[in-house]
Amino acid sequence: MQVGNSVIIHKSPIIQQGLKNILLSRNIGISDVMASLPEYDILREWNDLLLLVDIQLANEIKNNIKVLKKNGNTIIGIETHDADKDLDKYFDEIININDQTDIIAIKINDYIVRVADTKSNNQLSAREIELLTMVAQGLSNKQIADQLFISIHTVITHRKNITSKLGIKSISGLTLYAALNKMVVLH
Amino acid sequence: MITENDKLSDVIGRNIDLLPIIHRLGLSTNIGERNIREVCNDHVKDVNFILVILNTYSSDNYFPKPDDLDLKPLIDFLTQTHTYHKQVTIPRLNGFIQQLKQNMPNEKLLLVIEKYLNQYIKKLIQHIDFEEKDIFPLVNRKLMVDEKSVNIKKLFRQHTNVENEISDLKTIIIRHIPQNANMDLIHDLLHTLSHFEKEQLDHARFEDKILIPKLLKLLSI
Repeated sequence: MQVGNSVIIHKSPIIQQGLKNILLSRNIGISDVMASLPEYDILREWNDLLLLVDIQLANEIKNNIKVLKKNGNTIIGIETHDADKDLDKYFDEIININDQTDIIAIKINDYIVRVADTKSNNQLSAREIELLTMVAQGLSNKQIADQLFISIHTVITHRKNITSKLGIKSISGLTLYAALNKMVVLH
Repeated sequence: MITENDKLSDVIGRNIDLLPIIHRLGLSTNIGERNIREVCNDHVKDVNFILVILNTYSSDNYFPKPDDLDLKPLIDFLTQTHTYHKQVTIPRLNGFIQQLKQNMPNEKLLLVIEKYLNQYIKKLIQHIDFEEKDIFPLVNRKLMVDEKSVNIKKLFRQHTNVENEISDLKTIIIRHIPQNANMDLIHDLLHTLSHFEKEQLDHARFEDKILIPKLLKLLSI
């Protein structure tokens, strides 16, 4: 069974392929492979992903660190030679090109555990609670997307996750849930 | 799979939830040792139609084919089912809520559930009226041709909501049972909701799998 999803951001095809093999062997999905960091519009939609990033791109990571962290992404730097230690702080972990498989596995494991945790404890994330409150207030997907500055597609994904965590499908049911959990006042 | 040679009493014995359905089909009296074919003959009912109904309600894996059924008896049965929910299921659910309220007058959960249930019932009755006024008459070609394709699509959409809301209510009640609740009443309420949910699913299955395809064919949309 697949655990979580990842994006590989590195310009070397050899490293891309190597990372792909490691991720697949750990059952982590790969949603994209790219040479450099994409536009803000794309990366702000990344949620709960494992990002494997060329440590040379630390400055770009630094510029987007707020949104990447807010959306629960785990960022691992890939270093091919000793890099500037000052930039390390933007990464949750650093994988060195010379690391052996067992060491890499340990470094990736934190992410796997965290993703499995969110799945099993079924607690809504802060973002999901925010969205649920808006659904309960009767806002449409389009209105929610506009207010949160996210795409309708992301709203739908959040709603699917909320439904699967709570086991409640209808808008009326979600409203009732939100009221009982004091997120909104029923009029 | 239920066949015409099965004794009707055995069929009911295996699944007593079929009794109200058999009653709605007009077959609940004078059963004795008779098999389904014999009971149908006694009551002048089409045995194939009765078998499709009984099998749909007894097995989730049974999917009736549109060609198996005449529309007229199906519409009669669906209308009877609507009447049953209006006259029996809805008052029963309301009754449980009122009893629970006497039991726990200040329980906020009950007030919220009552409000939810009332909204649901209002929607359900609207849905029933829509079917009986805008859909069922299509069978007798009593409606203008232009309106119907829109109406039929609307019917599909409404079903999913109607079923999900009952299932959600059940889920929410189970999670929030108050400490001092009368557990027998809660159990009866949940039992009625489960039964109602199952009936709604089967009812929608008739409409989505038989009624709508047949209507579309009939009207050659």
